[in-house]
Amino acid sequence: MKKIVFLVISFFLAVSSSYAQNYELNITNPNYQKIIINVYNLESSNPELAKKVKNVIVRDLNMSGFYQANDINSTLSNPSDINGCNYAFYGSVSGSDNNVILNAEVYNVQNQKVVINTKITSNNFAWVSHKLVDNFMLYDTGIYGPFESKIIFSAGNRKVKNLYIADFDGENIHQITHYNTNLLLPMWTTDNEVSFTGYLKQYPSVYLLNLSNAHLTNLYSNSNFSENATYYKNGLYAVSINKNSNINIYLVNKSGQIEKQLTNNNGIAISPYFTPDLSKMLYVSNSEGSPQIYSLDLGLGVSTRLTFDCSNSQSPAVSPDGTKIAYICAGSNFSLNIMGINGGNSENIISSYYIDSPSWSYDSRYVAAYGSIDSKEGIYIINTINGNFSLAIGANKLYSDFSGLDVSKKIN
Amino acid sequence: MKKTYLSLAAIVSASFLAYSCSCTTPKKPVAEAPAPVKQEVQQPVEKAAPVAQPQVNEEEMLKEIFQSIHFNFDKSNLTQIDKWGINQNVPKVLDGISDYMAKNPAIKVKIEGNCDERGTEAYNLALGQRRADSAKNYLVMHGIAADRIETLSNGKLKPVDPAHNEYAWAKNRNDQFVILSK
Repeated sequence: MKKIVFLVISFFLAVSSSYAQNYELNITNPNYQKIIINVYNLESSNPELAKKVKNVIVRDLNMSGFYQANDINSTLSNPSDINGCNYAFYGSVSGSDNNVILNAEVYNVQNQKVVINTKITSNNFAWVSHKLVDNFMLYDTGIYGPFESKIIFSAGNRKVKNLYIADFDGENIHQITHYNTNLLLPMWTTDNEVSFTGYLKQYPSVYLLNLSNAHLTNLYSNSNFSENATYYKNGLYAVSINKNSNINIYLVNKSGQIEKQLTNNNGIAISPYFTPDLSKMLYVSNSEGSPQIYSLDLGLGVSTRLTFDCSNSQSPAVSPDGTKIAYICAGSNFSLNIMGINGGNSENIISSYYIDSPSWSYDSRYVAAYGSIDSKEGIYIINTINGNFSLAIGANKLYSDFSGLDVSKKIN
Repeated sequence: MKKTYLSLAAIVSASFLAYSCSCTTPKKPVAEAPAPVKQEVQQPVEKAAPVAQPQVNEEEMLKEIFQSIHFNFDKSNLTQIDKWGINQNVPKVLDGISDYMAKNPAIKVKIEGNCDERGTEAYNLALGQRRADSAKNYLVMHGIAADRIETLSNGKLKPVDPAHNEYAWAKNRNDQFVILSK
């Protein structure tokens, strides 16, 4: 227990003094006509703070895949003088890193009018920037932006991987566990709890970690194999468990008791993922020879196969609006595909040497996934509307390997 | 003060090792290399040779009997493998293991199932378990008590060959046998 460096609730709003500024932007769809935005220096008596807030605004706008943000190194005196862009961001910042007040305006150059005039306060400088960009995306696209969420991910080397939490744009990274073994496949189960599969004892087993009090629970210990704890409802988790050499999905309560068996296959049934209305559970089974994605109607108890076009369909993730499934087509090359919630209309979004653990943003437009897209290992944010992607967290000497990630719901 | 220097040295060494391991160029695991050196240093003691010789032979014999078995891509069935540099009659290897375990009832083993990198993390963890269980079930069917065999999945965490090609992947789809007690 001592080994866990846990996050207190305030972590989510805490300030990171080491907020890195560097990132790389990779564009897969150069033909997409991006909206040009000039971001001007923010007036402030604290220029360091103003610079950090501005950098996050630029970073988020670029990462959205919809916009090209120009970092303009001057303040704006008269908006009506602007040309060569569609929008301009400007304003002022006051306070300190952990008590930030952002007064921002967004000017529509073509219409020559201020379209956003807002005051945002937070005890985290990055969060005021995330909120401004999310609000702008609501104005521009009709859907609130994705940046007020966190990614939990597993990273390290081949022998040791721990859990980390970062902002959705990949910055503000905090390590939350310090074990000398492999912790894999983390998932948010509630706002304040994550599950993971770890080799903390001899065998891979599912654990729950409370982020407020660092309490660790071995969710199911009566098997030499369990993985993928996904929260269902009423204190129940769907877990893949090995029994009699078949791996099936069971509903397990927090005391580790099996309440119901959900699949009964000869072979492998893993990666449970519930639809938002909890009427169906997506999962992967190799019961017909190769891994494919199935949908179990929890009311009828009937499973339907959803994937037919790829011989190795794995890692399903349902979008928060309940309309789409992101999944991985594995093999000599990997691809991120998206299909309708009932299967069909499968569309390839990205192909690469390796890609895994797709997880949707709360606005159902972006997928975070890790892999070696564009020959660089890391966690990517992929715009599923236009295919543009950005490297959010690149592999470095601290973590060269990744083993799973999950994006949280919107954090208020 | 001495402790401080030792700690510093350890930190510097560890940092160097960590940095080395983090390089993107595929490397053999660092831990594999040093073992043979010590054995060579001890060999000049001639009197020890007759005693040591049978132990080496027994070790080699056990290594041969408990050799790794291999699998086809995305499979856990036990069959003849003849692809990508691997030529192995898997049931025959397991017959040898069950014969030896039958004659040596004190032996307990752990079977570790491994996968190549061409699958997701979650699927490979499950597939590794299926591969380990597959070999265990074979041995149990041939009369070996189940409580003498443990199984463990490493998924794709422990590749024998870190290269990214068919030959490496074929080597990495395996069960490895670890003798827990003799």
